[in-house]
Amino acid sequence: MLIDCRELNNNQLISCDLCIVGAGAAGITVARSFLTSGYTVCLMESGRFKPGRETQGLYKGWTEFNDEPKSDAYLHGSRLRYFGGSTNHWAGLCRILDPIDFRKRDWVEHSGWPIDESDIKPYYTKAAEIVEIEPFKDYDNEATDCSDDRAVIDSDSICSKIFHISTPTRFGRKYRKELVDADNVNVCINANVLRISLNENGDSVEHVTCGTLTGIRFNVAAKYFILSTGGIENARILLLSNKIQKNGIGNSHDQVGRYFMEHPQYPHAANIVFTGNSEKLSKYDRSKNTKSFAVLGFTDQMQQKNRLLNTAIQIVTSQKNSRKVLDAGDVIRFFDILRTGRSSNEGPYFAQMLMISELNPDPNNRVFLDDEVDRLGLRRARLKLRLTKQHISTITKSIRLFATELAKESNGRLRIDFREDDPTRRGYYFPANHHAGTTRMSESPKYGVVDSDCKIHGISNLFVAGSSVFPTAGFANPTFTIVALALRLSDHIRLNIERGLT
Amino acid sequence: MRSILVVGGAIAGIFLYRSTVQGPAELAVSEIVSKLAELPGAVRFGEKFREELKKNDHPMKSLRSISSFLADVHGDLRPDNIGDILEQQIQIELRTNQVHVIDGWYLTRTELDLCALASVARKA
Repeated sequence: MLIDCRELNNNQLISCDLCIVGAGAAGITVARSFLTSGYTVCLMESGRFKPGRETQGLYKGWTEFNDEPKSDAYLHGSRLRYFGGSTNHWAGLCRILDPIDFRKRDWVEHSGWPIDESDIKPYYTKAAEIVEIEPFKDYDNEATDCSDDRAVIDSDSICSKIFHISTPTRFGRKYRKELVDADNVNVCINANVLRISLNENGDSVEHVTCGTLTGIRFNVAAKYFILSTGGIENARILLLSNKIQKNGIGNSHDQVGRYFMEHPQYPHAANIVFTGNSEKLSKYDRSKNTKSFAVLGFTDQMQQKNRLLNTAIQIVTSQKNSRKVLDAGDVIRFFDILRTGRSSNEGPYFAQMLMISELNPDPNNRVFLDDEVDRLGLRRARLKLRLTKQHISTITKSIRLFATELAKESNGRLRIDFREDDPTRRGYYFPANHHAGTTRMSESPKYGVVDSDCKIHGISNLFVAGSSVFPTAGFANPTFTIVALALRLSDHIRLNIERGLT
Repeated sequence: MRSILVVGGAIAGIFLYRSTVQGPAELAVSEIVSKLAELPGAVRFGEKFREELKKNDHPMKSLRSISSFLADVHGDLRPDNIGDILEQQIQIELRTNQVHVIDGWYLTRTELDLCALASVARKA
């Protein structure tokens, strides 16, 4: 059923078994998991089915990035506030997190999930259906595929890692009808959650208070609540809900909003000249592949030995090259022919290197509440983000290591364009808009916000879905893992409901 | 008899002199250098590398020192095996991080030494 909340009566109360706040990839996945379950679901969406300027304006907020002047472009432009959420503009790239992403790494402070890849693996097949990619053939090899037919470089240090390409699935468009037509699901649009209200003991949620931009106020009561509004908004809503827990829900140890992570990308990190088999290069060229393509990454041993964050190198074949690059290619081909006796008709081939790297969790990178308020009277989100030293040195070291491996294994060479002293100069840096970490998973509330079941520490019936629960985020686009985790969370909640646990 | 010995000695001396200056190792390397000198990229790398050497007060390697070094390390160096020997030497330099960044490009020491000679040959 569809409910336009602007048509509700003021102070109306809606009751259901499960209240899901936010209709993005995570929220829609959970809601769909309960279709025909017999349990009633309210799926709350701030916007409507198309973008709207006023609702989108609720996402405005300041960002302080590195030493640059504060800007309001990022928080407003990196997210979409209507049914389907950020899946309305995602690129469709799907990849699992690597096993190393889940582990405690002694060279990455605050690393380590309280679960590992085996906890999420059972949900990959279903997640693949939801995002409309081909099912994985072999999960164990998906993380590090070193098979020869993929390898541009075949060494102990570097191997290929696979991205699958979704259509991309626009969750709002694809799953809207199914949800609106379901007897047990109320799709509530124009519904902005203003705060989450706890009982007097502060250990369970009684209801969420919602409001429309037209001034209607109403409450939703449920047995279980799931917060799935994205990596920035999840933290914001918890911080705003401070009537009983004065620092915000789940924030008694000042963890909510901290450890914000992104996926910084460097599209022109280096120029590459290859002299080997050009056919293998095509497997790495996203523009030539419709179902999957490969990137290069460092093996676990290499990451550990060199204390690297998890990094991917995407090779983009370039057609237009400067005179200097072409001249360098001639020199490299000359040496290659001399050393290998290779035919002079082969290559050289030119490519650009795009680097995507993990940003390590730093508690000083954080979402917090600004003094400015939005049209609903709620304090806006503010973001403080600085590229860490470890991240920048990982990029530099990775390029150098890759340069050596490239030369050793395939007679290629590269020219570094990345500048450590100016990593974000115009045209050489862009953020991927993957917001993660702000309500991170942990075993103890001292070091995070949710437990291994994604339940807020100390609150019996409030869960978080989405990449805000990631303690580390690897380099992979988060959507696929978000969907898999949402499916896992759905199973957990269904079990709790069946056992009568509240 | 004496004149035969004198002439024979002179011929031997010339032969010795020529084989010292233009032995097979140096011939092999000088062939590479003259081909590299035709590549603008090699000349550019060579010039930049020479500037870097000068800045750090390091002398540029001569044809003789490169060829005798390669021969010392890898054995008999000739025009027909210089490719294999260069491959071995470059792999060693990559493994032991004897890599320089010139104009952003990662190149090994020996590749740059050869380019440096090429840039001098080009100028001549």
